[in-house]
Amino acid sequence: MLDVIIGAVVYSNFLALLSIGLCLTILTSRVSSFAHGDLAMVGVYTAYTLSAALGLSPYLCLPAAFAVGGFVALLSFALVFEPLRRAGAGPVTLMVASLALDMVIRYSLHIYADLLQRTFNVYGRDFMFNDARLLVGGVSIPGALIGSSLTASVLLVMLYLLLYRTKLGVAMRATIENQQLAMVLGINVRRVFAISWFISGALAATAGVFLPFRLLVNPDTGWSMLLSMFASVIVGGVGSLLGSVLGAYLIGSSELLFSYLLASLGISTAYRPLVVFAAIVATLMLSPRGLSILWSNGVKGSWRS
Amino acid sequence: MYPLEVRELHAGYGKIRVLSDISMNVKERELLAVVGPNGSGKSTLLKAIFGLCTIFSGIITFRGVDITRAPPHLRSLMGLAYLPQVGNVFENLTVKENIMLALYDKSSNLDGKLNKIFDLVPELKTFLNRKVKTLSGGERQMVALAMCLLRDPMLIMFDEPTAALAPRLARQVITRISNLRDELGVSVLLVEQNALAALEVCDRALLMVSGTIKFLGSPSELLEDRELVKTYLGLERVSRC
Repeated sequence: MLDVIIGAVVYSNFLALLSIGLCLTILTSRVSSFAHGDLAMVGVYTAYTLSAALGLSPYLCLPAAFAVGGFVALLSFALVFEPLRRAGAGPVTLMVASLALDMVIRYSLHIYADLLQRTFNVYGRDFMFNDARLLVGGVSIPGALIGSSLTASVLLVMLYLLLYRTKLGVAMRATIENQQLAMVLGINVRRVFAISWFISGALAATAGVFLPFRLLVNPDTGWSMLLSMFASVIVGGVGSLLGSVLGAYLIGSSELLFSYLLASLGISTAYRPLVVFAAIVATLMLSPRGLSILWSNGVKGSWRS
Repeated sequence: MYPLEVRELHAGYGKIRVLSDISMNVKERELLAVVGPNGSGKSTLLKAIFGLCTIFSGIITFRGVDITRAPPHLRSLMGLAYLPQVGNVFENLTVKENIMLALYDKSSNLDGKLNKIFDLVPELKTFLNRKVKTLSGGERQMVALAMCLLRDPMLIMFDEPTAALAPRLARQVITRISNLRDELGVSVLLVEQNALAALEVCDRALLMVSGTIKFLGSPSELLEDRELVKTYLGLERVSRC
């Protein structure tokens, strides 16, 4: 049971970083990106490459994953979403474009996996990272638990400080609330979008580094977790950054505990997504604004909103 | 050289054409009032000048520089200010944060600027740390006006600043706008549904009908044209302005 709880916390930390990034791009540039899970895999492969090439611990590769993930997301914005937005594309067109982008990133990662396998003679797919274990009070705790919790906490606090304590953050919140007025006041909205995409990709890739500590990964792993990411955002309340984080912990822990329950009852864990679908359906039917209804007054653009 | 010059402008939204063949200018320290019936394209004209809608053809120059294709934030940097009719403040931010945003691209010190604005809009002092969503409609307009003035604009475009205000307050706002022209020496382009009030204070008037200019000249000339006044402004009898 302890291992299930540890797994739930690590998985929820992972989901929290991904869903807050997804929420940020939905709020700023109105893109519900289906390629968001792939950015986590960009982080995985960045850390894996550095580990294979330089023998570094995956934990030391977190800054590199942050930078590469941010860069790939920025590139996606500049080459795909911004040109489409300027051509007047609506949210549905942007969403469909993100599906195409998902295929491009995912299959590029497949090609890269082959390249990696040939170059470094390592498994390009279905690999895991070896994790260090720390002995705390006689209990052996996996490094991923401490690492992912610390990383998620630090990054979420930094994002909060950026949004609420800096001029750029105020400009980002303003752009989220009223893009036209932001432009009227001389804010370069395109720059704000680009920054939010960088942050979103960087958070996703950083989160991704913790995945191979718990499960076998391949270029499709990010895609398979898309349902949980969107569920976190929906359960938290689309447009609420705090809600998406809370939604992530709710979905992450429910998924793992449900999976444990299924296994205990001798039922296939293939039914795990059932709890995620149920959460989405229940939220949309009973409280479409999700958890954010508990504190929000319906105005967009705040951490809580 | 006029601060603002528009030549043969055709503009609209997406593929829909709203403005046709608009040619006009705003002179130094002039208050030009844009009047006309609902749906005549008055607000679209301001949006087109600020780059917030589609320009099909034509040229817009601001202080001699062609800004037809310039992004809105650059127009703002050049000294063009626009006060939208609605959504002209960030409701979820405090008044101080709104003001901070008005100076986003300026390197000037906030305190000095604030004192200057307090002289022009003294009411602002009383609700500086409140969230905008807690303010009344009139107070919000004050914040929006302060944000506009903080940017040291050379030309301010007001889009129906008196909409949703009580008639007495509406008169006060229009008088205050005309005072701004005199006190700050800025040019003003005022779109106003309360045609009579706007024509009383403006230097020139522009009457828009169905996306085209029907009249451009002195307000007294417009008011003397009974046919135009009756048909498009809905005014039966007009006392001298």
